Amino acid sequence: MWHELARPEIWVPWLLGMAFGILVGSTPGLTATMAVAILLPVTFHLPAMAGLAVILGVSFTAIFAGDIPATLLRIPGTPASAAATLDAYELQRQGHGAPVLLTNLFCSAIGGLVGVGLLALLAPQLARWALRFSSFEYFWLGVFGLSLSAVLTPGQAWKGMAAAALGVLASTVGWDEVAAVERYTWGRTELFGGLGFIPAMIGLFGLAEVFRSASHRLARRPDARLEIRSASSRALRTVLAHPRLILQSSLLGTLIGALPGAGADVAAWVSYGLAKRLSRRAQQFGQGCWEGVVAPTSANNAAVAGAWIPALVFGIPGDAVTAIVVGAMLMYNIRPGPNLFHENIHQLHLLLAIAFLTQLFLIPAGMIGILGFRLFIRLPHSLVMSAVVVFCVVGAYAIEQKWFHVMVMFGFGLLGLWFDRHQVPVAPFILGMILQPILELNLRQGLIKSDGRFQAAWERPESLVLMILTLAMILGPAMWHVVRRIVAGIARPRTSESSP
Amino acid sequence: MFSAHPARTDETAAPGSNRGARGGVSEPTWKALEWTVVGCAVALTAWLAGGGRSALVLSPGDPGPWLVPWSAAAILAVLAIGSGIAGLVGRRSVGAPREQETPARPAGRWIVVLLSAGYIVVAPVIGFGVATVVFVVSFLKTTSQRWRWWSAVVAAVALTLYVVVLFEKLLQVPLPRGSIGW
Repeated sequence: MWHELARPEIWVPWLLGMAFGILVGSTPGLTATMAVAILLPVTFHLPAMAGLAVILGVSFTAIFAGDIPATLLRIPGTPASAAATLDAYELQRQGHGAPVLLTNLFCSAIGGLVGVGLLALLAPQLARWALRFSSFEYFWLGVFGLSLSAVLTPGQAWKGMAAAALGVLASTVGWDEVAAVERYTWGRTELFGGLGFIPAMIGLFGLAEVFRSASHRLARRPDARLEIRSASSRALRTVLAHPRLILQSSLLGTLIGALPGAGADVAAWVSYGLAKRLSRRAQQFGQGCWEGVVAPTSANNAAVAGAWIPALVFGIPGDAVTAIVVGAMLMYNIRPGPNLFHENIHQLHLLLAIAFLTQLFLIPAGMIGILGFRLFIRLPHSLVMSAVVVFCVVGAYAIEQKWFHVMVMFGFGLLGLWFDRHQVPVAPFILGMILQPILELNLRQGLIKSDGRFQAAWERPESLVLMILTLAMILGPAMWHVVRRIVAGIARPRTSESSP
Repeated sequence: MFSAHPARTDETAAPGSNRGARGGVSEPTWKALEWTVVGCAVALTAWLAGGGRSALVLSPGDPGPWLVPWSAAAILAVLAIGSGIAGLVGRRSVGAPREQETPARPAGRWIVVLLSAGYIVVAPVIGFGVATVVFVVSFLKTTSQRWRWWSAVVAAVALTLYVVVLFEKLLQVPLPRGSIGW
């Protein structure tokens, strides 16, 4: 297996992908999802394993690279680095810039290793259990994932749900194979294949970000110098001083990452919060505390691996990046799901090996990235943004060499701008687009098998549990709010009676 | 060691300053109503575009191709109407955004949108190479004061060459040639 990975057609694009991940992740405003979305069309011209290696390399390195501008500029390179910004930036101001960046790097690599370890350990067990699933369980799992993403994403839950519904609706455009009928194509043959989720991703993440950032002035660039050797020993001492915190944050990050909709950003914030709550130095958090750097940076990379658990086992992506990857895997004729663990075991082992090695390569790649950031940071922002537009256009065109996809990408760029105006989360929209075929196919297959009886959707215990979980998650917060108001209403007259 | 000087942004506008009034109606309410109109329009279009079409039911028990899109449209419509009502009643939790950064140059994004739209329309006609150079030069000149004409042209040509070599030569993706030929 390892000799396959040693082939230049795999490791050369893999390392280049990691370099690209560093470049994009460390550019404020450009996200890891955007890096994957832009690079995805390029990977289709590579062998399947090389393509997936590139995507894995990009996603892990971009999440780490987001910590570089977070530390130096107080601007998180990706949303997953926002939690790390607080203490990392304060420590950098106190003159610990280089050790902080290297601590970020080591913690990211360890977090990623723990995440990949858990992925390798848990995924086959879950897959064995998932083999018992019928169509309706997959349907409910899809609805559960979609609802979870809508409820958990930052902002108002109803906007997340509306975005998810809109994503499902957008994904129904095209030819319906079950009933052999066209939907929302208005007779245009280009639309028979659907809107295409790759142009949608590129538009929503790449172009929309350029539109958004065009109205904001940029920060002045810092002058950064780095002495790797002395900083490395300081960073290593920090890592060795916090083994429990790193393990706790990595495990928590993996588990949170595995929840659909809760990505690396949520994992980083939760780990930061837990570290603060359990720390004896809670007062120092936010003012330059090393624990405040270790916890979120371990968790965010672990969450990237965690997101692969539901993606590989059920075909239900855990976050936006894996949503794109699941789509890419389908294009490579790799069908994620429990059968992957029996039919394509070799491919699965290759994937896990790539994920594992990526964590090891992350350390040299990250060091080069930190040094390279000093040069890259001097590039004018306007040039970077114009290059992003050009890459968005070429990326959308390169998929099938159709200019129609470029126009679709532009349309989604405008939609992203509208989402930004209304603070609508993009992740539920993407999950809606990706999950719609899984949801619809399983629902209709289930109904066909049960002669159209809708009751069959909750007759099996597994389906019933998943349905109750989904409903509890959607209605739970509102019901809890009502109960609290009723309890407060009952308690108030009593307290007023008891007061003199 | 790093001796990075902290960055200072030019953004000094207070958060939440977008809560301006439009004819006495606060912006959050406008935004909630905008949601209602757009959400209902999309849902209605989804409903009408699928209505009246006789779907060929190939398998008994199949609820047909419109169940999922219509359900999504119905959820969208309910949420959109709910947001509108809540916005009008004045519930802060629905229409009002929390802290929102105010753009330093609000016109900047529309210039970039127009430039990008022009680029996408023109590129297949005049060719990818020429259109990209023209687009990048226009982008640099309109979004930043620091670019001189000659430096913008050099940067645009370099970027275009990089993209063309990467996609056409290395990845074998033919880019649109247009009437000029490149």
